[in-house]
Amino acid sequence: MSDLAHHTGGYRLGIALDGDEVAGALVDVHGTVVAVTTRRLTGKPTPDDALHAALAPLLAHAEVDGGGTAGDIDRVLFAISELDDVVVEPDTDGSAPQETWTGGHGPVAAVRLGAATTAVPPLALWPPEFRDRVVLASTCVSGGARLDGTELEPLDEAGLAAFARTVAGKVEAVAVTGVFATLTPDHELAAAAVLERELGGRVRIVLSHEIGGSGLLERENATVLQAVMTPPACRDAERLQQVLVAHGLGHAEVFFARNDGTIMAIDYAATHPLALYGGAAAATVRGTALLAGEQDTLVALTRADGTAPSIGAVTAGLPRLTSGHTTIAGVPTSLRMVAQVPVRPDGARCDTRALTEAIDRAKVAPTDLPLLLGGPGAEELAATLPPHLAGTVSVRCPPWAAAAAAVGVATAPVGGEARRILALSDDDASVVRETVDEAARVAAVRAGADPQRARAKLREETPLSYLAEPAVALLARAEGPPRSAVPAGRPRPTTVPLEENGI
Amino acid sequence: MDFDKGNLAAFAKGCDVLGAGGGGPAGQTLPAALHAVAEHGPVRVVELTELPDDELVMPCALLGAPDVYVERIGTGRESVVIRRQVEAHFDRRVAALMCTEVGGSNGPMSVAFAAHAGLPLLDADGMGRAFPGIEQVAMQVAGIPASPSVLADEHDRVVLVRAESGEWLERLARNVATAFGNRGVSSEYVMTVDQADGAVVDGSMTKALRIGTVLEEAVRDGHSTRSAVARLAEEFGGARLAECRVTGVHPIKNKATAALATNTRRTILLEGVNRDDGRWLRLEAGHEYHAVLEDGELLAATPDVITLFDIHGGEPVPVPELRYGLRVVVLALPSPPSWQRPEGLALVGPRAFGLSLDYSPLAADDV
Repeated sequence: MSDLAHHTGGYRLGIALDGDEVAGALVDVHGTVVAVTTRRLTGKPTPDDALHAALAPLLAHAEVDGGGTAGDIDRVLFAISELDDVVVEPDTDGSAPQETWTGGHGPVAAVRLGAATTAVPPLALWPPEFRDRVVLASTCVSGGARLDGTELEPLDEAGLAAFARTVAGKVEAVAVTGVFATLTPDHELAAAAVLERELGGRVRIVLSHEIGGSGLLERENATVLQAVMTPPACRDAERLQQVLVAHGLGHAEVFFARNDGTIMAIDYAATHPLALYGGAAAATVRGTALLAGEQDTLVALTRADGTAPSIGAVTAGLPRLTSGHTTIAGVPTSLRMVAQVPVRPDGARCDTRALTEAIDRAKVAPTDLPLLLGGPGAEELAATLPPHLAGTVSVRCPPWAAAAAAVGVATAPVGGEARRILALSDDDASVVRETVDEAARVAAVRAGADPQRARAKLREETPLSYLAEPAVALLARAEGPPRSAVPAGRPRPTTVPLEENGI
Repeated sequence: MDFDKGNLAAFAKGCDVLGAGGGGPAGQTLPAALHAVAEHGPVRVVELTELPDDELVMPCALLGAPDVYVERIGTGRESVVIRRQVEAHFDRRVAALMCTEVGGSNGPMSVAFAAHAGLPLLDADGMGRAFPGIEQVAMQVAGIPASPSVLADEHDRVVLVRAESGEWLERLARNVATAFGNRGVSSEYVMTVDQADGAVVDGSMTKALRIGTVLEEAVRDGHSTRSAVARLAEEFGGARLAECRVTGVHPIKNKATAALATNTRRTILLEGVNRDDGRWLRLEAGHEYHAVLEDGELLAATPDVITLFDIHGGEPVPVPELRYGLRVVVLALPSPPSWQRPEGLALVGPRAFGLSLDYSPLAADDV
């Protein structure tokens, strides 16, 4: 089988960067980790530096196994902690959080579809100085949907066009958020068409139903943040593509770790950069579980900067997520993250009592679970821990735990999700369920899943309270392996060997 | 006293404590209150004695499903059309708006309703906490008629329902709410200032603000959650029942057709930690926390306010967010005297929520 892999490529290269710590993982066509490397660099390494540092040792290792050149790699996947800073570090001390904003963001405009929502106007919950710097204008126009999918108000296309003309030539992106758009995106899509007509194709239109989450204000905030980040993210993506070409990887598809533990293709990441937030941590949790071969486990997440670890839970291979309510740059958003319980030591040291309490709080049920250590500080932490902790069956640092993020991102599927409300009296319940599953599958394909292998994976049904007619909220998730420009079974593309490229 | 941008956050914290785990998060409606006072200026909080006897007190509350009103946030101006309809129906002036339910989302929302309607807010409410039922208000015990129910949506559509009994009123009002799309604002138990005397829960607004202020001061002074809770117990004649970890949340199957008050039941097991090591508590919950038992003995029960605080964050934990492993401090605060009379307990005592228990008054912490 490894011969076949050799002839057809099919390798995935995972690259992780956390501070000065670089990790790389090479995964073959069967999903087996064949080589791993870790390196410590100095002086604020970039993704370019990380790729440069990890690629040669991995290829050298693969060569021993009969693998070989950059041309065998058809997917490159990044898990970069510093992307959280690009998304803007949360404001911890109440002062302006914008130190990490290097400029080039915004200005953007915000449009809300739903005129009778003036109880809280758009952007009311933003730190004012941040809002004033990146948002040029905002408005509420008629539009939006009701719970049952009917119109809340007719879409005011003339009002939209008039607003667009006031911001034309002045904004790089427009965020559009409709009432109940996650259930019925029709008005957001129609609004996007109007805005594109007025503003031309160069202005990015960001729609809230693609971000998801229940709660108009938090979803709107996430959408506007995403609009602010999209133009610089697109420029960064272009730059990274050129770096890959220079490394002989121009043919490879590029993916990034995502907030929920899945991955997304570079084109999707560039237009949905908010989902990068927390992606590296999510990849570490997933990778640690995979390295240890555990489906149900706890993962103590360590970081390069030596801060106290936090504990996450993995159930049936999937990291447990928060219900949303993530504050980014002082702005409350609907983004879901991998749930992490911080270990809160009384003093500075990470003592056993604080750790066992965090272990208990991270669990979803009382069953004892393995505790795995992952991330750049995993081995240092392992050296300080007793062999047994209350509430665990074992405490382990799996091999290559320091490279868990690289392994996690290199083995993760591409994910997609979709939501609908189902009235339990609906005669076509099974049709609605199939529709939401298919919508999730399409979302996964758009995020970069192989269209032939993306499948609906699970469907959550949550009853809605206080409704006269019983209804449930459907949330479908789909996933599939990352697409490849070079399908297995085809000859691999001709590429310049690394040496000739001067690398 | 006024509500303004300086004290609304503390007020909202107090509303969450009085929510007893229910009522929806006050943080969800706090932005609407802040926006309303920014637009219209501070909202004056008044006593009944400051108002003309023959003018009206108009209770107001959000109506429908929380999953809907986080999307359809409305205008906050629904109170304007309701006021117009109420004044036309009774042919009297409304002197003050009253919060129907201080516990949870409706607390801050009533400040927004008052600001938009240009009315002062009465320092009172209908419950002194959160309850699920329209009729679970002190005015029901006092014999004030619930009818008419005036309902409005965010597009100024308004409906006035008159019915001879609470049962019919609720049946018809629910259908109006469904037609609105499970989101609206409603007013019931409209009464004169004279009638309101003794029929409402007095002092609810200032109490919620005081609770929130105590909690904010504790955070500012670097006190732990457990000492903040002990201070609340001391100041309001309540009891800090125990410090625990949640060891299990067990839903109880119930008929989907069961009354709203009893249609989501669960039992929660709490194991004492730290100085409460070795104690085991059983918590009964529905939309709110209903009772705490230890060794088969009742420690606290509805209508007394049972609230759980996350030891680490210091925030009150709503019933749906209780999960295995959480560290909590359990606080019980006494309910207003009107609830402790037999006709009050019949409406909001443990048996009204499907528990085979009799209420007994809370034993306050020794100070």
